[in-house]
Amino acid sequence: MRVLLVVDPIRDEFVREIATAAKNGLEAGGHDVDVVDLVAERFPPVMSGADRRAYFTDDPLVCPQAAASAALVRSADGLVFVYPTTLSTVTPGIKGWIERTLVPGVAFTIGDQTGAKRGMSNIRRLVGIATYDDSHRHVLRHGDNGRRLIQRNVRFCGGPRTRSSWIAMYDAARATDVGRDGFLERVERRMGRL
Amino acid sequence: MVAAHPCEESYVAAVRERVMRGLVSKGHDSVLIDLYGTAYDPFLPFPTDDADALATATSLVLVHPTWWTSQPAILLSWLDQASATGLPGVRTLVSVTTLGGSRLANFAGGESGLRVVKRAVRPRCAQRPTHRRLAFYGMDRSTPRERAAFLDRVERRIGTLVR
Repeated sequence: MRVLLVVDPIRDEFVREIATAAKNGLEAGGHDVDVVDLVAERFPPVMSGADRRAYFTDDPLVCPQAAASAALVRSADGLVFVYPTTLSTVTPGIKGWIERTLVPGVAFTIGDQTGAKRGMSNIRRLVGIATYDDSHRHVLRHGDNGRRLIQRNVRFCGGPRTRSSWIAMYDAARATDVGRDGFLERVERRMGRL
Repeated sequence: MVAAHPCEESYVAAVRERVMRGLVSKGHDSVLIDLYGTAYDPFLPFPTDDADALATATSLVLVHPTWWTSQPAILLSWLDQASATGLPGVRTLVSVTTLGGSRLANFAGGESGLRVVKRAVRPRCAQRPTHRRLAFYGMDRSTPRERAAFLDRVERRIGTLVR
């Protein structure tokens, strides 16, 4: 399987370690891995006027970085998001990547009568790996909008057989070194079995 | 009032103008922060002008399209930075937003944008402000008449929602 890892290590080097663990696990499992590191690439998270005006045309990918990401999405069989939860949802960097890369013609198509139709049936596995500063209980009570976005809205763009899974680290703000190492091992093990 | 749409010719830009008119006509002392006009950059520290405007604000009005069920990334970033201070003076949050799909489609989609403000931004605010929302559902298949009616409704209602 060819897997695309989209990582936003904003304000948190640990997230980059998680991505490395995920990559190692996937490669050990015999998969090919592409990585988009939003901070290292300085991927612009902001939808520009040019992006927006091109959005509903036949050629919506006017930004070369978004076009490069879209090419990776098209050739991928698996899509993995790694991010620290921010305001109960994905980071602005991940949200911006989704807005600017998963455009019409890449993730879905827009018919005249029917609304959006799925367009990412090549994605067979969808995974979210998220850290949360809050406890699991707090997240359950206040809602997990990042998980909702990926497992419901992005998942909708995949085929009916797209499987999705979630790897969460709650209480990340209070985590010990032992806890962090344990989580990295868990990520590597689970991604190796993907 | 914080506005987030990249295109001046957009419907959301028209909504922004009518919100401002509604606020001014009711005598509210209003400041516009247009995230695209001021070239807000998520990679930079929070702008001091925005922090100064927030320091005395009693209401915060967000005018934005709904993309992938929630606020555009530029506004999510701004909200994260802005609410880190606890927004000590803010007693009312108002979202004015457009949504492409129907009310039912958005319900099925999860309404993340609503949840982000109610359950993530609001608990960060020192005064636990109330949250009000003026939403235009079904934008994609709307008629010119419906769009004009929403603009009128926004201008009429906004002045009564803020404090």
